[in-house]
Amino acid sequence: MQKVLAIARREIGERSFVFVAAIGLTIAPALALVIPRGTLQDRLSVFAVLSLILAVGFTGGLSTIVGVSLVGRELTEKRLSFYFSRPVSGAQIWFGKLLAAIALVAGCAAIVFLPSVFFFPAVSKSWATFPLILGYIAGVIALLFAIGHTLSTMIRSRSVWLVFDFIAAVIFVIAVAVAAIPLLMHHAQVLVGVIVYSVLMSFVATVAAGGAWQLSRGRIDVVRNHRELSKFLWTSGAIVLAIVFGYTMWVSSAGPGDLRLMHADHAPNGSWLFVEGTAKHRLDYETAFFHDVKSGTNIPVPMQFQWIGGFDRNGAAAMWIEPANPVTTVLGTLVGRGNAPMEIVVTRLAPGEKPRRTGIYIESIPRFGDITTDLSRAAIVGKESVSVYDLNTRKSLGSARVGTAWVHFATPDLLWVFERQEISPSNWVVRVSKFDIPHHSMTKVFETTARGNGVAIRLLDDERTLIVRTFLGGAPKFADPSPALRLFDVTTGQQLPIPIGPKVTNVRASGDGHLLVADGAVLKVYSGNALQREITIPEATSVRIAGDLGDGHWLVAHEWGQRKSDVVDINNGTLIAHATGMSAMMNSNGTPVFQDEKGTYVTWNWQTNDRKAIF
Amino acid sequence: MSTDSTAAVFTDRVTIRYGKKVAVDDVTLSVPRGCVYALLGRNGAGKSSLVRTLLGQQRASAGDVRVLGEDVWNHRDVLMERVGIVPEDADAPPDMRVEAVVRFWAALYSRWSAALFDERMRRFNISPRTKFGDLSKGQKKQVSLALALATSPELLLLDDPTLGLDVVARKSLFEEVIAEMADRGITVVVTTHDLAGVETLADRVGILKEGRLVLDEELEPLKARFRRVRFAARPVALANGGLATAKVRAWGSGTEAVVTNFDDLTMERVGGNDVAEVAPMSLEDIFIAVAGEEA
Repeated sequence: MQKVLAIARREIGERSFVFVAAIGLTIAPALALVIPRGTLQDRLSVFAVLSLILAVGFTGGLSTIVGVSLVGRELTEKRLSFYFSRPVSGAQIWFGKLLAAIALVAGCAAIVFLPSVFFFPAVSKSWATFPLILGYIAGVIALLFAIGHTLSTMIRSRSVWLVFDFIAAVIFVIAVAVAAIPLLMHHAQVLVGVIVYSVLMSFVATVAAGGAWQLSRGRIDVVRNHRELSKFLWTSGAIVLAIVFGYTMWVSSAGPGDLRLMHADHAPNGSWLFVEGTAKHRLDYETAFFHDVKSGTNIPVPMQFQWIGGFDRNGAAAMWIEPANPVTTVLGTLVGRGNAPMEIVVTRLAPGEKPRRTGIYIESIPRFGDITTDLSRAAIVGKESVSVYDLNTRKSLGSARVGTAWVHFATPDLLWVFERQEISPSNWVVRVSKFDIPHHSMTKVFETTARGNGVAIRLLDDERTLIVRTFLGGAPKFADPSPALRLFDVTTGQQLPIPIGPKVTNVRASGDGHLLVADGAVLKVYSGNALQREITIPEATSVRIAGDLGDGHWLVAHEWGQRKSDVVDINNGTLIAHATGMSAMMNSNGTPVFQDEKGTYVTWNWQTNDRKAIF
Repeated sequence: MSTDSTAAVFTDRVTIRYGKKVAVDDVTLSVPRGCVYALLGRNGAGKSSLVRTLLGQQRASAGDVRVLGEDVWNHRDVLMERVGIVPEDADAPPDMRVEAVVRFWAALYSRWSAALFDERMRRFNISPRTKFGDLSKGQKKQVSLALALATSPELLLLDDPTLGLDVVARKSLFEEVIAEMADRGITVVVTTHDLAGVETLADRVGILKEGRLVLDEELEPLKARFRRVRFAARPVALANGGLATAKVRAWGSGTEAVVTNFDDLTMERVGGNDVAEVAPMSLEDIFIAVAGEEA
């Protein structure tokens, strides 16, 4: 260590003039304070910003120059024999020089950054992030040093090893990109940033260690120094690549159990969920699956998915879109040109199924889509039109102009089209049409208006009852607002005379023609227009109808904060199961899924009261 | 001649190449401990390459190099503690003051003796405050020498130490310093062009020519077997008589030959009455005869 320090002292002594330059550069921006323009605060700001710019520039430049000259210049000027004639090892020489370089750059940085450290808090609110910025700057400075040393050693040797280095560098960059692209396809830009930063810092660490290797074996011979540095650098590079690829593979292996859920979507029927979220210990790496609650099996969703909620009505098939060329899309996104053609991807929701690319391309990300249960047809709602495709022949079966719309297949040949349009401020038109696919004709079957801040429409499972909800906000600034909730029979266009009160939260229709209305804490069951039964849910102030469990059993969830759910039998009006600590997801038909207090998704067998965490 | 690896310096079939160019070609030499060895050669003969290899700064392309019994490439940093070096070009940074250089040396060498250094510096009359770059070439050599000697080396390697020295300093170097080292049993390896100076001190001489060690011998026997012989007539069939010649040329109406295996009896037998003059040769003459172009 004594020898290392002696070498460091000597190196610092030889370059001590840089401290004088640093002091000069620190004082120079103070001229901004004496220029008689603007307020003192303005001048202080100019001083602080100028100081920071000069400090960054000077430190970066110094680091590069020190890196370039530390060994490379001495090799070409044949001055390294001064050390190599002494009883010091190559490693001691390198680490002495490295220590000096760190002391020089850090010492100068401490001087030139002084005004920024003192004055930035006074002029900028971003002071809190200043240490982070300094950390980043330190990394960049270390990188510049490493690059300076490496290039200096290599270029000064003028040997054929330069060709090898160039090829190796290109391969290395391509390999890192190949490792990063799959992660970018999973939207893991932060993770990729961390990996790239780690690779760069590993390069710095490699050069820090490689310098010792280089001097120990290359000594005063510039070509041999180059050769040894290259060997060390690219061997380390190969190890780094192996680690990066290993890590990438581990990241990509994230299964449903690794998910930190951001979103789950229950199929309208059946036991399949679409789940997506970031994966544990993988920063912003996102992944998605279809998960069968019953069997526990999963269907991984490929990269770069764009989920548009495309389950079929029976929950047996799903549709979404992927970039036609994921790699191009990822690279395009990096340069702000990510709007590449998309491809429709479908899957049957059954264990062992794999997503299938259809070969049908669309120009932009759609607003909505639907698919038939038999996977024969898909409908895509774009910005101004709806298009229907035959998935087997890859042909368009027709399209029609629509406004803001959503669709679903009644049969493979018949598509329901639901539109809403704000024709003037707070005035909406709600329209339901049928698109006859074989005849390429769209027929309006129902239209009404609504007056409010917004409007939502939903066709119930009976495919007759249309709910029109009008959002009024706190205090409408217009006269004659529409009722908050209205029901229509789309086949006749008649409004159903169901007494809708202000506490109604939602309405559902059962397969046998009953209409269920959640009104406060009471579940009302209608047959036609006649109220058949009222079931009061204990401990609730309001309930939501969450799902049809079959055989007249319905799942209701208490208000969100309560985390309570009940199963009721609407045929005899009895409460047959009660669960606490969890709230049912909407659309929990068939196999219900709940979320507990911790946000964990669980299943509940209401007959046996068994609960099982799934995510 | 010692050929074992316990010699102060031992090279076994050392070859040094730069690409396709062979700088040192299959050189085997051995410098016994306590010996003053003069390594001679014309510019470009391979001396510097061999010296760098002896210092472990450069790896031989082939062959084995041992200094003080150790593999110099693998144990260079330890060995340099025991080896004093006076390089051809003084290598201390020009901005460094002599006292700073001394501090640096003191930190590196466990056997550093400030007293030894100061004593010699007083003799040289050089101020320690002087920057190394401000010293004359001769003074730089003197400081380098003082630095090397203050580490109490077992082997002193002088790479053309008299280059730039005036006559007095040169005489002082050879007569005082090297002789002193020799008296103390320190092995001295010196490369020099000052053949007259080294002639009085060297125990052994090696001559490199175009990378090959063409001569490696103790000085006295060497000088004994080399003679300049002038014959009144020509041609003279020297080789037929068993005398080897390094150089034969016309000398007036006769012939001059450098005989490399001279002995009186053979000369008497071969030359007979034709011999006009037999003269001993200086190391410089021998060097020219062996390493000169016309040889």
